[in-house]
Amino acid sequence: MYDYIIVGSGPTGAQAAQTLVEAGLKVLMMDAGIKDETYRDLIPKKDFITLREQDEKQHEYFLGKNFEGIPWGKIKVGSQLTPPRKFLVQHVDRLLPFHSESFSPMESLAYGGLGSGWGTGCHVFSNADLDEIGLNKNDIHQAYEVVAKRIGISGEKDDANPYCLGNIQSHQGALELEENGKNFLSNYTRKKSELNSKGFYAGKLALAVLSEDKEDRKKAAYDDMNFWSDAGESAYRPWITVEALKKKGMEYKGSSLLLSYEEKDGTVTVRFLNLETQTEETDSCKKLILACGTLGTARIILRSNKSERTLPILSNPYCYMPCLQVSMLGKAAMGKRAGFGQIGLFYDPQKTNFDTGMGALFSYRALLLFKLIKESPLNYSDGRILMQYLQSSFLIAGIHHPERAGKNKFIQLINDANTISGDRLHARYELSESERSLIQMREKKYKWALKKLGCIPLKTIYPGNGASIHYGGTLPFTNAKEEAFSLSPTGKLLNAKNIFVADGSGFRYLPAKGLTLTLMANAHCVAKNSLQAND
Amino acid sequence: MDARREANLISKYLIGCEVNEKEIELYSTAMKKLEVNLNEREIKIWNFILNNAWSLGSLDAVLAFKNPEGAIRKKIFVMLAVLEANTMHTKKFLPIGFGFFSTLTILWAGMRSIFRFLFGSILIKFI
Repeated sequence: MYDYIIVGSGPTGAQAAQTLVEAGLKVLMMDAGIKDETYRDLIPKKDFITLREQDEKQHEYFLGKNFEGIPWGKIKVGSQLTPPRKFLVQHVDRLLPFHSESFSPMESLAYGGLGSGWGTGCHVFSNADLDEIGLNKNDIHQAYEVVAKRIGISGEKDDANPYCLGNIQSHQGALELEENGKNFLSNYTRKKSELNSKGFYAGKLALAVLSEDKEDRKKAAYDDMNFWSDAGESAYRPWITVEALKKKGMEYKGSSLLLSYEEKDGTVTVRFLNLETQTEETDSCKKLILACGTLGTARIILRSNKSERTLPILSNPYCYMPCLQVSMLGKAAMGKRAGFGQIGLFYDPQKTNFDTGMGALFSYRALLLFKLIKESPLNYSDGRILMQYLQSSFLIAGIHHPERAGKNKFIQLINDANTISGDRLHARYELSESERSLIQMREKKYKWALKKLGCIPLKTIYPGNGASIHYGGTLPFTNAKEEAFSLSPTGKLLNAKNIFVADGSGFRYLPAKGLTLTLMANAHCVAKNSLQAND
Repeated sequence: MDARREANLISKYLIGCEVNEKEIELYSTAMKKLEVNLNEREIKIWNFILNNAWSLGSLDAVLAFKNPEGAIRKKIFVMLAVLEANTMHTKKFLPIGFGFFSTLTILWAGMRSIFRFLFGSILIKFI
């Protein structure tokens, strides 16, 4: 019997596993673990421009072997995934059945989970954020340092520091900025006092990308291929941790879809579907840690408890604004670039680092021009000419808003005999009037700030509820002793003895800032807490 | 579907040159895999375009407003993607800077797009 079974190989599963393996426990990690078998070895290790100019087979990975890289129709979450990243959502429709008219989340069965496509933005949450979420701030701040050392973070202490690196000491120097970012920050420096007086702070994002070599991983190659490959492993992906832990004796079982668990007489038995043989199997452990992502964990817990009750769901409202960066007009951005969104613009009018807005800025080159041409209202021929000249001056601002629970935001697991699991997750998600007003106000402020910074917003695109790919709150943290479908702040499932949840399910509040670093920090804490929990 | 004829027509419209065998094959395969099927009205318009190559720009311009997600636009879009992912045409898609003369090119493209739209709006009524 295993000491622990951890379900999920994403950011939280990987961090929880590392803590337990380092503590000498016998750990089995399991999940579907879908990998990219098609494109991984197809992409030469060269930079984006060189590939475009030289590789005769580039259409295979840029467009996809089935042309899945040519998007068409309504923008939906996941449509930005390039062919080499499509494995992130492979088989999700069939194995994680979901239905909603008002909520379109992205789930993953990939090896490394959604972390295999993570934008790498790292954000330390403030004490106020952590209190609102329901986490122990001292534990989490210590855990930030642990996780930062493990995964490698690059960043700089500038005006964005309170919202990014915070007090993290273990970090490498920031990546070099590309032309768009340099221009943007240069404008910010000139107009800083006015922007700060209105609550706007900009700076370099802390990224889980190496600026120096770390063990076997190489520093960023500035090849602008981040959307296509993980050459050199400069960007942290959870599977890097999982591979390392396998070498240290952790067992990993892929092709395994957890269906349910049962806790009895001090043992937890998990029932899972072997995706290769299509048969149900079981395994047992002393303690179970669920790290399947908020929606995945909710499915398993509801199914295991045979419950059709509703659970709250949180997801940061999100939009993006393509902007024309005036100072880049006439320039051709052909230099080397890291290919990650490197600039953050934070809206913190009360200067409390709480309930802030977050804007992450991306320039456009490596996603190919034809997708940009499609967004213009012109005929494709003239659109190509215009966009070729203008593409270097496009900057895309992704705006995230903070999120709280609401009465019209919930999920529910309903029986459905037509699915592989016998059920389907339903969701309803509706913002309240006051939330909508707040979001509109914040977006108006962002448009003002972007214009001040020399970026003219062209339109606002709403890819739908759930498009932020940040979820939480289904099993809210509580200090109550016994409450069904809730977690203690230590991550223990309250109506169970030895079941813990390491993902964002307990987060009662989602700051606008990126969640992943805090999710990983919490996962480390949950694993530590589980070691101390009595049987 | 005459893939060669279509691919050459669209390519000449988009970047001013014909395509090679590989691009024709890619276009043809993409049409099948992406299931680009025209409805009755679109077949009429597309047949008109095939017989009147000069009309493609104007009809593309008006369809960009009237039916941006339609199958005709999708055909052109797919060909655009195929062209971009080809080393022979890379220079027509990578970023370029602009000075005085290229500003004139941009203005010309802008004006031509307006003209194409206006002409296409009239033309489509007669198809």
